[in-house]
Amino acid sequence: MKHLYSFFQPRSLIDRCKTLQPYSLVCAVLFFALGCYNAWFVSPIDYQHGPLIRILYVHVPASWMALFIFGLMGVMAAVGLLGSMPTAYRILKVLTPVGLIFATISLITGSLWGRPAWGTWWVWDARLTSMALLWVQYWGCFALQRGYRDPWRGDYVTGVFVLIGLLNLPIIKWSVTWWNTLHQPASLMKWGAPTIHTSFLWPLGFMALGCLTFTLWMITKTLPFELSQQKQRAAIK
Amino acid sequence: MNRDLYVFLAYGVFFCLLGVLAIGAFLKKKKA
Repeated sequence: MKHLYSFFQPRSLIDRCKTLQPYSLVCAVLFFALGCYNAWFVSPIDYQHGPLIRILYVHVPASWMALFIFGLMGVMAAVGLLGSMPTAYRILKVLTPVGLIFATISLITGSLWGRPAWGTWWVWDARLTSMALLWVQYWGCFALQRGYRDPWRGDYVTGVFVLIGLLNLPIIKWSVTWWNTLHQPASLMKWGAPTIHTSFLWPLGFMALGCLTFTLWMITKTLPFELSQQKQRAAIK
Repeated sequence: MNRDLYVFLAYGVFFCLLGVLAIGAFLKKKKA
């Protein structure tokens, strides 16, 4: 518990952000460059999807990140609510737009894949609908964080909203197993060996690492500003 | 529509939206 409190100390967090910021940016650019090069020039095209398989390298990492970030927001909400640590809410706040953008990318690129592959932009199947619900949840967080005159109350309500919203994550993950969906089942994040060829895994891995380090860069870039605002609010109070 | 065009559009959406996030982060810092 002592370590947790020292981790969430604003001063040490700001210092850590400043240290990590350039490294995370360089890593993100490097991983995206490697990912795009592998996706466009090294990885073979799929025998069924043809060149459309290249959408996988942006669609899947964006979807993973949308889920991962909401999970992380859940952890921050739990730390904020149970440990009474306002700094955790600031991390939750800077994560919200990043998760929202990744969820938006996932929905749009999925649609751009669905049109030529399935013949439709959108179907109300379990995976697509639960993902659309996650997108709405991100907007909900966005609105709740800004909708209260008393920002402390806004933080509390957002925290509760995120914790309830966590229920949607397993539904998204296993929607393709629990229901008959047009969306294909998992081929990597599942029990047993992946059912995807290794030549597709390299660009996917690089793009996923790119998304992860980009998110880290976004946090290190925006968190110090949020923490300084928290300090100002505390001083006014 | 050509299949390659859907792929270009998907990559365009991906990097444009990440670019919007990055610009937003820079502007926020500038405002501070």
